[in-house]
Amino acid sequence: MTSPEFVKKSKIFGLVFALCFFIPVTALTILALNTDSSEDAGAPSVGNANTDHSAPPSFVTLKNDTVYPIAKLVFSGNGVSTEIQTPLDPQQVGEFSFDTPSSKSLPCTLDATVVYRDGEEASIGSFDFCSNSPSTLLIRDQSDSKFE
Amino acid sequence: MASTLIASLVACIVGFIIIATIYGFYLGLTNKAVFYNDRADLTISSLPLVAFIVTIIAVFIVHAVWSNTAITLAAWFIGIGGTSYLYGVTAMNAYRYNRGSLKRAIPISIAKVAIAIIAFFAMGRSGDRTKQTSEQKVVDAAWTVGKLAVLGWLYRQLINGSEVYPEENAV
Repeated sequence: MTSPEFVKKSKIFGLVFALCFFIPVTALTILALNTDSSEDAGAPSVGNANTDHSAPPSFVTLKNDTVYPIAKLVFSGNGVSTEIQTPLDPQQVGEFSFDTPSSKSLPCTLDATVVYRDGEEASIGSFDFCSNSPSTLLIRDQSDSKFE
Repeated sequence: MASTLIASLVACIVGFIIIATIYGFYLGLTNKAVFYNDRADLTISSLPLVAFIVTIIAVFIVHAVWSNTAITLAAWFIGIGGTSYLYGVTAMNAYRYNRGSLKRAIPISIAKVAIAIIAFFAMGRSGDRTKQTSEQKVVDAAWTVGKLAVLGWLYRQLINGSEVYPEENAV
């Protein structure tokens, strides 16, 4: 049981297990760093993603910077999601109430999905609504959406 | 939607780890597989958790001293790399001692980490001991001795290399 082939197999097995530990921990670290709203929040800690429990602001200003009419936006974070009806034609700006019962348990940083009037859906990225509160969120195709 | 998918995936992985851990303990306690071949293997298998704890402490110290995210992250990844390497060695030993049987080596490798974590948390103390009454101190001491006895018994049962493969360990 100590043939070179067996030794090689055991090393591969060990390597796979080492990677099974290293990859998830690295992914969690990166996830924690990306969702951390502060610039230098201290030592990276595993599993503290989305710990900002401040609720997003009551109102959000949106601009439809696409060429398609928008029906609604779906925001999600911390396993909770909320929908806001945002009937916006192309280039139209509007202020919408974010103050829904489910939005109270949402974190500041939210994943946003736009639903166009033809039913098509598109994920437009993750946005920090607390620190960008007075700014207008420009809704664009692909991943170009941003606060302005 | 994406978060639901990730949550489901995490739940599946956690479920698999729990089942594999229980199965690993079953294999070890019934001598159907080698859990720890000997005391040396037990020591080596405890090193990944020690390395992980040292990493966490080191990261906090580095951050307190330098307050630099890049250095803190470097310390974190070096520590995690070392922990991964030690865990790889532990898994490799489990594979070798179980004669290349994946069916036994996978649950044993997972259970080895689980028992190290269980032992670490089991020996941890909670609460303010200075405010304890004498009765509470006696109960606390008895509880600690009880935990040590159970862990000692468990570890002794799990060092089973000579029982699973007596012919290899015969003098």
